Formats: sequence, C-alpha cells, structure tokens
Amino acid sequence: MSDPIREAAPMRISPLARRLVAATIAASTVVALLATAFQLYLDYRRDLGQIDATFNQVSQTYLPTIANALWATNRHEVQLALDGLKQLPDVQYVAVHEGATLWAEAGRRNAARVQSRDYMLTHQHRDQLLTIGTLSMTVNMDGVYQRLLEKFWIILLSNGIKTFLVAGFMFWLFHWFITRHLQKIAGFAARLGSENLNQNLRLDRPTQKTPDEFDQVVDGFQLMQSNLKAALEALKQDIQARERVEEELRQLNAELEQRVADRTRMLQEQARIIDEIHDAVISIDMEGFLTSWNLGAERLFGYTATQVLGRNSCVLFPNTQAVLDPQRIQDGQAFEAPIQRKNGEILYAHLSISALHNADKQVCGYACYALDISARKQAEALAARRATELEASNRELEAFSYSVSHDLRAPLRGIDGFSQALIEDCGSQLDQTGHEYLHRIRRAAQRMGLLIDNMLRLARVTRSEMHYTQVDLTALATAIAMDLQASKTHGGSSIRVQPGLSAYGDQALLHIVMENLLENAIKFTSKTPQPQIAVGVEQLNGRLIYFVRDNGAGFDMAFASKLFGAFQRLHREEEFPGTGIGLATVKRIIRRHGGEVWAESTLGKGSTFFFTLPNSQLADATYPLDNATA
Amino acid sequence: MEQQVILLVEDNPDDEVLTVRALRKNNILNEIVVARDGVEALDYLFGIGIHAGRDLSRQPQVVLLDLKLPKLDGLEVLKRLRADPRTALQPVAVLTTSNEERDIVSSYQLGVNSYIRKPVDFNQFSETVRQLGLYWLVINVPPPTYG
Repeated sequence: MSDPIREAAPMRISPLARRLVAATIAASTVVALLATAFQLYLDYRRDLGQIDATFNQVSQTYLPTIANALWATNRHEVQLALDGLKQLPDVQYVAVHEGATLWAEAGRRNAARVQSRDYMLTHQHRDQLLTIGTLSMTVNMDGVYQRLLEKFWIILLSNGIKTFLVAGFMFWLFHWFITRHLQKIAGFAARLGSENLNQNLRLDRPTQKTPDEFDQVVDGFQLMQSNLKAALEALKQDIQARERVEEELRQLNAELEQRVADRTRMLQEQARIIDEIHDAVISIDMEGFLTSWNLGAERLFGYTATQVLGRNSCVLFPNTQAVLDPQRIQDGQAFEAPIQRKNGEILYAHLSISALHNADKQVCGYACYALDISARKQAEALAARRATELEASNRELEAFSYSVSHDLRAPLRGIDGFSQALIEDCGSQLDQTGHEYLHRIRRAAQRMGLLIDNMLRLARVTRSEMHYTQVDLTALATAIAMDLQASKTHGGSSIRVQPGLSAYGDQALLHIVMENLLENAIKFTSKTPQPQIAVGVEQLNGRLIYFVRDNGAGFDMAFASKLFGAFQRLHREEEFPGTGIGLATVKRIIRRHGGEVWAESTLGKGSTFFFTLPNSQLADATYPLDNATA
Repeated sequence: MEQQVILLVEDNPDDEVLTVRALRKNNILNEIVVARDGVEALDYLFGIGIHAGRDLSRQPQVVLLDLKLPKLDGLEVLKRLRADPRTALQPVAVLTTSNEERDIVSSYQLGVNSYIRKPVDFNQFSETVRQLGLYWLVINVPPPTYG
C-alpha cells in the first residue's frame, strides 16, 4: 500500500552544470568559429587588397618605367625593373611580352595557387598612344593562404582556451550557486518522510539580503511540510476513524454471520424438529394444494411426500371447506375434524391451522398441525358411555336409597308402633311370654331400622360430594366424645384427645369416621374396668398417622382382614351390639380421601385403629401426646 | 276460643294411626284433619275440590307434612303453599321417614318451619310427637289469621 520512499539516484557530478557547460561550449564554439571565419574573411580580403595594392603600385610605379625602357628597347633596364618587381612580396613571376614575343621575364611559374594580371604597356608618341607590349605579373597566393591558416589556428586556440575557461568558471558558479543546493534539496526531499517532517530544509549558504528563489523553495518546503503535517494528521485521524468503522463493520459482520449461522442452525433444527415430530405438520397454499409434508404426516395419512405434494388437501380432509374456514384460522382456534387416510380410513384429528404470511404480510398459505385423536375420541366415547352408565347407576342407587329410606322404615315403624300399642292396649291379656315376644319384635324392628340407617349412611358416604377444608380433629373428636359421654351408651371411659390435631378433608365425613371409631372404642371398653381411649397422631417416615386407641376387648388379628368389610362382625351381638357397617363406612371415607385405614389389636388388651389422610400437612399436627387433655 | 286444627298429610294409614295415637296419648286433643295425598292437602288449605266452600279463616295451627305422597309430593305441596299469599305464612312442619340431605335442604329452601324425622322406635316417636304438638300448639305464636 505504501511505497517506500524512493532514494534519489546517485547523483553524478552536476549533470545539469555539465549540460549547461556543454551547451555554453557548443554555443561559444559556434560563435567563435563564426567570428574566426569572419575575421579570416576580413584578413583574406585585406590580403587580397594588399595584392591589389601591389598590382596598383606596379601599375603606377613600374609600368611607365618598363614602358619607357621597352620603348627604348633597353632590355637591361626592363630586366632590372622586372627583377625589382620580383622582389615585391608574393610576386612569383613577371614577364614582358611584345606582342606574342617574350621580351623579358623574372621568376618562374611553379605554383598552383596564383593570380595573374596583364598590364598594357603604352607609350605616348606624338599624340598617339601606342601599345608597345604587355606586362604579365603572377602573384603567388600561397603566402596569403599560409598566413590565413596561421591566423585561423591562433584565433581558434585563443577562442578555445577562453571558452574553456569561461565554461569551467560557469560550471563552478553554477555548481556553487545552484546545483549543490538543488542536490541538497533533492536529498532532503528524498529523505522527507512522516518521521522527519519537523526537520527544516537548511541550505549551506550565507543568508541573502533579498530572498531569492532558493529562499522561496525553502519557504515553500516549510509550508509544504506544515501542510503535509496537517494532511498527515488529518489522514491519521481519517485512518483511525476508518479503522474504527472497519472494526465496527467487522464486528457487525461477525455478529451478522453469527446470527445467520444461528438462524440457519435454528432453521435446520426447526426443519429437523418438524420432520421428526410425531404428529403431522403440513402446509397448504392458498388454493388448497399441499406444499410440505413431514414424516408425521406420512404416518398419519399414509401418503409419502412424493405421492401427495401438489395434490389438493381435499384428499386429506373430507370437509375441506370447514377445515380451511378463514374466520376460525384467524381466531387461531384448534378444532377436531375427520381426516381421510390413503387407505380410505376415516380418523379423527385435532387440527390447528395457522395462516402463513409472505414478506408483504399477505396470507400466502396455511400451516396445519394434525394430531390423531381417534384413540382419545374412542376413549372419550367410552368414558362418556361409562359416565352415563355410572350416572344412571348412581341415579338408580339414589332412587333406591331414597326409596329404602322412606319405604323400608315406615313398615318397621308400624311393627314397632303397633307392638307397643298392643302392649299398651292389650297388655293385660298377654302373659309374660307374649310380652317377651312383643319386646323381641320391637327390638328386631329397631335393629333393622338401625341397619337401614347405617346402610344408607354407607351409601351416602360413597355418593356425597367431597368438600375439602382444614378440619380441627381435636375439636371434632372432643365434641363427639362429649356427645357420647352424655348418652347412655357411654361406659364412663376416659377419652384423651391430643390437642392441635388437624387434618385436611371433608368435615362431615371425618365426623362420621371419628364418631364410628370412638363409638367402637367406647363399645369395646364397656367391659373394661378402667377404660382408656386416646386420640392422636404419630409420624412415620414423614407420614401423619392418626389413631384411636383403646384398652378394650380387642380382637384376634387373624380376622383383621374382615374387620372393615360391610356386615362383618367379630363379636356376637349379645357381647357388643352393632351392625357391622360402621368400620366399612370408615374405610370407605378414608379411601375417598386417598388414605389408608388399618387396625392392630391384642385380644383382651385393646385395639388401635390407624388412618392416614395424604392431603394433611405434616406441620398440622404439632403437639405431643403428653399435653393431651382428659 | 275455637279449637285449633292440625292438618296431618300422610298417605300411610299405619303412620296416620300411630301419629294420631301418639298425639292423643300426649293429651293433644285438637281436631286432626287428615289428607292422604298432596292434592287433598291443597284442597283443604285452599277450600277447593272435596273441601270446596270450607271456611278459610280457620287455617290449621300447623301442617304436619309427609314428603313421600301420591299425586303431589310434600315438597310440591310446600312450594304451592308458599307461592300463594293466603298460605305463604302457614306453619308447616315436615314429618317424614327420610333423613336424606337433599330432602332436608329442599324443604328448608322452600320455607318449611321445621323438619322432623320419624324414628322407628315408637317410644321415641311418641316423644317426638308430644314435643311437636306442645311446641306448635302451645308455645309457638302463629301468624295472624287472614282471608
């Protein structure tokens, strides 16, 4: 992401300066060459001018002399003049021709680069200007060219040296004033990074009076550095903010992914649950066509998913209209309806149908949960039938009891009443045996009345509704004991009732229990010298066991199983009177409370009757027997 | 002062005889009118049917009402008595063999003044009737005569 700062390339020595110098040298050389050429040209022209001057001098100085000598035909003089000409610089060859005839000459014509000129030799003779001959003069140009060449080299050398010196100086100047600073700037710029942004660019030169471009560069660098610092700071903050955002984004993403994973897992789990659930879960689209089908549905309806998906739900529900009743679906009511299996069998199912909604909250189908309740329906029908039967039987029993209560007793009262009337009205006509018989008739009638009453009570105990309350057994037993003590049947027994006895049960029924047990206890202690009866509670394994204990006649434990059966008696009537229904009634009442009743006894030493009432709380009986009152 | 009347509603002739005997033996010598079913009892109390034209200003001091009766049972008789303003306040004592709880509750719900169960033992029965007569004929203050 971040390129390492590129180091500046190793700098060769002032390439800029060298280029500058090279350009300067090149330009100077061109200028020097041009100047040299120009100068050479001028020199050449001057030399040519000198030659022309020489020729002119000849023409002015020597021509008349030569012409006169020629005229005079003074060959010697002509030769002298020609030798004199020959002495002039660069003159190589001079000759005088008279017509075509060579008349005199000096020098030789041997050079390639020459310039020749011919002059007319004239002589004024009488007014007639006569051409008497021709002077030819050849000038050697080699000297001129030689001089020019020498000059050229001198100029070139001097210009070259000058240019080199200037260039060297320029190079130094340029290096000193510019390139070394540029290199430093370049190095500084190359090294400039976020870590040394505070370091200032300082050039190795004295302070300038007036700021120049380098000062501007330095200022520019400082400004740039401070701008960079600010930008870097802003960037850093930006990056931090961005990192924070990225971190948040990462967390959000992770959270989202976790949620997606959770959701996916949940959906898979739900799908698995739906598939593995024992009951049928199916879905139906708006047109009633089946869109999903679990294994429970396969079991319930007998179709596999491939057999049934895409078919209309009317194959499953004989009464589809009623099943897909929108109002009921909206109310979310579960209901029971017949369903049809693949084999045509009609079952009863508990159906719960929920509307399914698409993303726009529009109902797009229905989910249906179906549970086979055929067995329950059958059981319910059976139970209802049983209940009806039981009710009928109860009604019969009730009618029977009612009838017994009314109709069976009335004749007894007649028997008893008229026996008494007979005794009263006709007693004088009867002997002792007759009276005795009449008393027996009355006793029998009264006993039957008692039997009927007890039987009815036993029946009522079974029929009556239970009203559970917290019953104060101590108060109950005490009250019964007082009632019994007040009656004639009581044989003066001491009855001790443990205080604080409490039980949870039906007050009226528990009254019957205590009454029967206490009556029994009193009855069977009636022949005991010091009768003792105790009512209390014991705890055994966290269970409350109520008891009624006496020191009376007791019974043989071998017959204990018969004790609580109706009409079962372990004593003869003459010993202890009774109907044999009391303990059956007690058992039935305790059973109705969900408890148990049993007895322990030693013949001749007394009996203890125990009973439990499971709904009674342990804490209800708190007082020990020691505080019992007589 | 006229002799107070007792209306005995009883279908069982034995019980009727024994009840009357017990009353008489206990020196209750008031006139005893016997109705042998519920309809007859209402006829007497409202002066209709076989008792049409009876002087209704002389109503029984107490009605001894059995519950199990032919035609109309005792509870129905009681209901009709209480529904009619002329007999709404009529003292009625149920005297019956039954000690079924529902009979007792229904009787009191219908506004009976007393509920007495006939014991089998005649001596007890006689004692019960004696107390009954004493209470209703001597001790109890009847509602003002009306009609």
